[in-house]
Amino acid sequence: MLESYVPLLIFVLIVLGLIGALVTLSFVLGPNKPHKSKLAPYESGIVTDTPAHKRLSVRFYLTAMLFIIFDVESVFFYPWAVIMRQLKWFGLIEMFVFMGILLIALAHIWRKGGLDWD
Amino acid sequence: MMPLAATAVDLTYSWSQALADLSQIAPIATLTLFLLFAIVVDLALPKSRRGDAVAMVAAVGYVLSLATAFYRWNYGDNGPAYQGYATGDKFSLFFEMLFAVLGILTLAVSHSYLKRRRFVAGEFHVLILAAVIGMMVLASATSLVTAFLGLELLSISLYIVCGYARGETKSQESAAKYLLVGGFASAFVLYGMALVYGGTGTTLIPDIAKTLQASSSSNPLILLGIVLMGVGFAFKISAAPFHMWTPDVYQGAPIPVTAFMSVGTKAAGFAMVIRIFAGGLPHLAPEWQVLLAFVAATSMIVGNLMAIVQSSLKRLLAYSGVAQAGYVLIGVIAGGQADPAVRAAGLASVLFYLFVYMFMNFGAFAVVTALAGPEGDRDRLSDLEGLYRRSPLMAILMTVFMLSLAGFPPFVGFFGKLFLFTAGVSAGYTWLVVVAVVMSVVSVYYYVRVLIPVWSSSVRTDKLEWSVSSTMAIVLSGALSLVLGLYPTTVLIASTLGVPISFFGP
Repeated sequence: MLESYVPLLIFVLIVLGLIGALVTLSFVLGPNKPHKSKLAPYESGIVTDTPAHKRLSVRFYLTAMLFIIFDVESVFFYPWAVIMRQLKWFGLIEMFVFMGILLIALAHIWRKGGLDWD
Repeated sequence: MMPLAATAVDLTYSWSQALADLSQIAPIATLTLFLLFAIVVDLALPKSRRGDAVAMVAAVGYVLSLATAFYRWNYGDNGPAYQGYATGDKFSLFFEMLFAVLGILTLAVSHSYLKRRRFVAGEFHVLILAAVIGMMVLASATSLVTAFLGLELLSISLYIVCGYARGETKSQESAAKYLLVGGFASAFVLYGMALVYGGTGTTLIPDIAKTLQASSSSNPLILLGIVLMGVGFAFKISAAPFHMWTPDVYQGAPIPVTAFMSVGTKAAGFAMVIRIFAGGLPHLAPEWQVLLAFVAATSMIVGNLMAIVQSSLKRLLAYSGVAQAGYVLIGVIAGGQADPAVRAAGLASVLFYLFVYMFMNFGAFAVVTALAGPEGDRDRLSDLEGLYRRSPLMAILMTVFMLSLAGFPPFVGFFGKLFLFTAGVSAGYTWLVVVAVVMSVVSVYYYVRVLIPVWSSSVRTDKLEWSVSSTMAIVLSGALSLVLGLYPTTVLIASTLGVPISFFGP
């Protein structure tokens, strides 16, 4: 049971030892000459000149997200449509239940202003 | 060219079958109906009355769901439904009752909290309803697909309510962190499920067990699947070393959400772990037991040691939750043993502990909820100073919760731990139980440390405002923590009955 995992344990120990040794060696042996541009977040990169926390309009994302949600849900209609006749009345009513739930969701978004652009 | 639809699949689904299936998941169906109704109420009423109306609808939904589950527990013919994709067995009913009670407690505590902090109440209750439904789906899932569906419903609702204090950076951070880490966890779980499906050719948990029993050789695909699912579950139940998100998310989220999440996700996660690991993969138990034993030991050590240095009550309880997940895992490990008696004892102890953990942990969080002011949560240990003057009843109840969490008799936490540890010893995991007992001793320090400010004097002597509903919820939790400790057998019997018979078959 536990014994069969001993090789794994040895492996983990070797990995940890190796990582530790390599990091320590490069820290001890490597030259260390800090410089302002070397310590910049992106060494040799473009220096950021404006704050990263910018306010963006989320209207586009909201519309896109709503579209994707309803798009994915409407995909469920396709497999249903293929076997609609075999499912008989039960399938039809089941789909009306599903559409009813979608309708409540749409009404919710509408009423809460999710569809307003301004 | 292959002819399309070579085998005609019988798609007829009779009305009687539909009704039978629906009645198996009646508690979930009831709550779903009320969820839809709550959304409509939220739309139809004027803004000023929405919050109360939605809360009322949610309350009726929880109570009816609880009553349905209770009725089915006593009188229903419980069994599989929807061609084996879900079930209405006693195991799922046990958890459905647990989640319905949790929903009621959350509603009672959050109602006044939302008013005090001037949050929009309607959507909050709707989202919590959705999360509770997700938990119930998770508990009654007997297919990997249904389990994942429940997991996502639960997680997505919680991502939103974690960021419910929109003006606070901490709350936003909490939601973003939970979303990212939760997404990772879901991906791990899904990948593991895909591998198990690849190794067995079915997603139905009973069929997985049958397939694995037939093939004697251990398939590396399934082993890898177990590891990946184990990692994902460990994320969800916030067990170390996958617990890093817990303190930050718990601290940032509004307190009722933290209270709900700390109990609910954990119980739902364990329901899934038991159903899939103990129910679907019993033949590979030695493999996942090793994994869970490692996770349990790390959780207990890391959780208890990190909790000592916390000064925020939310963070302290978050780390305590990590440790508690470790204790509960001992029971799950015992639930993987081949001996039916040990197995039953292990799984029953898990169900028992999760049930009583709900009351003690939720109660502790609920007391902190009442301390919150309009501007934010007050969850530093120093905020508790002089609580015994400001509200003697709450000081006593807080003491009950902390002592119960620490595992002092006669409170129920003691019996929970006793059953878990006994099951662990009889399963042969004595070393794990030794770790658990040593770490329980450590935990006494920080649980009692919370009580020092509660019973110390302070300059603040103003009376605290307690709403009726939240007081009732806290008193109920406190009373049950004590009464169930005096009479633990009632819940233990229910827990034992909740362990499915199907787990014991070959």
